[in-house]
Amino acid sequence: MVKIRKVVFVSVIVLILLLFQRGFSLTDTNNTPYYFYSASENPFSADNQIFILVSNKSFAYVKMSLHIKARYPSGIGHIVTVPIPYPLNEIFIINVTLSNKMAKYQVNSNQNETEVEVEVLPSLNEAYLQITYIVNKIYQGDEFKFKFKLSSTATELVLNVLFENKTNWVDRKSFEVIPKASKETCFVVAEEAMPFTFTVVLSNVMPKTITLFLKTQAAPLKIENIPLYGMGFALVPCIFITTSKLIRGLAAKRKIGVTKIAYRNILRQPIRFFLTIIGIVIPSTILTIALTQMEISEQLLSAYNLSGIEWPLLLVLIITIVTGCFQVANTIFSSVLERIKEIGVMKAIGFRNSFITKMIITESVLIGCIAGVIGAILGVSILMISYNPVYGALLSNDVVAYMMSSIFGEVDIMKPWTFIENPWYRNCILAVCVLVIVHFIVYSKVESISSSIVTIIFFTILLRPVDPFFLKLFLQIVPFLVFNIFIAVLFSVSLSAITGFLISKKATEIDTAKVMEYE
Amino acid sequence: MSSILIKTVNLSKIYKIRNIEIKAVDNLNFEVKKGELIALMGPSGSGKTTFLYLISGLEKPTKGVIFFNNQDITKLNERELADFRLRNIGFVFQNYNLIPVLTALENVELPAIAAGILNEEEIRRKAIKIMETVGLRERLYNKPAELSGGEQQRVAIARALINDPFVIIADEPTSNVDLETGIKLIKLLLELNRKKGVTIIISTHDPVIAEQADRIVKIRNGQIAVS
Repeated sequence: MVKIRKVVFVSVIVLILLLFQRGFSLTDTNNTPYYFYSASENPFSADNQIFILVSNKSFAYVKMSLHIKARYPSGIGHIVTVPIPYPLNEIFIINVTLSNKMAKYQVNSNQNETEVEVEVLPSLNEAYLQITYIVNKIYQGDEFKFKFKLSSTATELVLNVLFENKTNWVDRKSFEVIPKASKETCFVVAEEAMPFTFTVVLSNVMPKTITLFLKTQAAPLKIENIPLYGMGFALVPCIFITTSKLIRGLAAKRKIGVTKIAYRNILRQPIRFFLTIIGIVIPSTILTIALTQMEISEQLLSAYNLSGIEWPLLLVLIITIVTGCFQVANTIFSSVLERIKEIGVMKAIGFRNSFITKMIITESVLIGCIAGVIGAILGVSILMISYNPVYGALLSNDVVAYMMSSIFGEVDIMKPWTFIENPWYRNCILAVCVLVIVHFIVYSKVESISSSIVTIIFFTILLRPVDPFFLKLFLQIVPFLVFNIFIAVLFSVSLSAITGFLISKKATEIDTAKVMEYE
Repeated sequence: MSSILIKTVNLSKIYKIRNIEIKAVDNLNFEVKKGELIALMGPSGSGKTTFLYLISGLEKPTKGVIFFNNQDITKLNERELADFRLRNIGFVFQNYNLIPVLTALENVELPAIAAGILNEEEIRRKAIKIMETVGLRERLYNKPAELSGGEQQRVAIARALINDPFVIIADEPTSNVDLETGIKLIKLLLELNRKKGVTIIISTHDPVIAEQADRIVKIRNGQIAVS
């Protein structure tokens, strides 16, 4: 009865959350800005330029040079589309050249715009793309506005150039160009974060040629579009609460047997138990991270890119884990020594040696299992927070700051009510309200709600609108992430089982009669 | 003779400590009948405890034979001895020796779980019934540390009873509690002895306690002084 209630309760909450997600569209997804991040100083570099030559004969000559890097060709993201905001009948494509012969391109067009789709093959490291086209019909009149937006999901993988001609764009930067006698004017917009729009206002002049050089710096990654990081953050308390509940449930089970006694024995000295757990959590965390990174390198990097640093790392790792196991051995051994009389009593009552062995092995396995799971989950979370598992690249410190602001929202102190516009906050508040109300209706009292609130926060993050591109990438790495978690847990469990077994051999040698005599 | 439960023949136990031989039990011939309540009396170091450990199979005798229900237990190996103790002998120790992490009820259930004859429900029912017999119906879910000495010893008696043993061996069960509680405990053992017909062997050096028994056996220097 209680179980059905709980199921109903949780499903109602999840349903309502889903409804919120669908009903209250969080952001204008059509206008979701893309940001990019790169470890290199200037990913756009001088290679990426847009020349716009506006002639006084009512046509514009546009030349785009793009440097496409497919450094980790993983089978995804190697199609680069370059939208051109004109239908094919209004422009005239002079040439499309690709530096690499393995790459292919294709021109697609519809009534509103044309796009050039470039397919970069997985074996390819980089390519230069050059598109030149002439726009026949440009805006007439005094003012000529040409807005564009540079964007990318990640420069290391894809570089998209998007031309945007929507009017609802926020102009972060406007330039008024009054050409001088010189041939060209150069704008450097390094200090401003992407994306930006600028407007070229041509007034009172009819220049022969305007050349726009675009040179950009990388903007920091905005985590707003990568809810997975937030998820990693939220996972940690959730996992802790769930495991502790699980263990408590295990202990509360009516049957007393090896597991229950072992569990209670562990909890006799909670601090010692905690310290031991930490001793294994650290190596299993490192193991998960290392395994995942190795896998990413193997999958995404070509063979000659491997510098062979993985094996020494693995060696260090194994040493760390073995050290952790010595810690388990130490803990179990001292706890056995403490209970030497108790074990003697158990043997006197008639417990077989096999029971004592099982009990001690279970104790060490429990420690290994709990620590292994916590470590693996922590490893994944750390991987998501400090590493970019999708690209295998290390993120800068800015990322953490952005992540925090993404999770807790950027609240304007002068306008505190605006925090409700942050979808995460709004969802959380709504979810917690729903939770409290439903809880009150179902149980007619409000208590023990804290863990549910954490779970709800987890779901809220999980159900945030996810950028499909990142979701796709994430889903690709999920199988081996899970596999690595499994390996880490298995490793720590088996090693602690071995130590437990060795110690239990000692414990079964306890001479009952002697133990009872010397009290 | 089927009425004889335990019979020892020329039982000796000699400890060797630095080439000095200590005769803890010396050529002891002894019989315990079924349904008896025997009090073993003697000063400390007289060999009471060693004798109890010998007849329960916790220690191997240096010489001699022990028959338990006409079965020679000196020939059993360690594992068989463990099973033998589990089924036939209930222990009550001087300082209770309950498992501190388990509740009183769980402590009582423990040997039955080790025996593995009954299922979970039956064990629980039986344990509660036995706890009622020893008068601890109210303290089922308390941990040993939350119980008084007398209560802990009652739990120990209940634990000794759970597998319906032939004999309860109580090694100075009353020496850690006050006299009044001790007498109550002895009365409880006496009652169990009368009602259930369990054979009980108590070692004590308190004559007041020993008076309650059917038979008092005095042990001195590993030998029976007065029978």
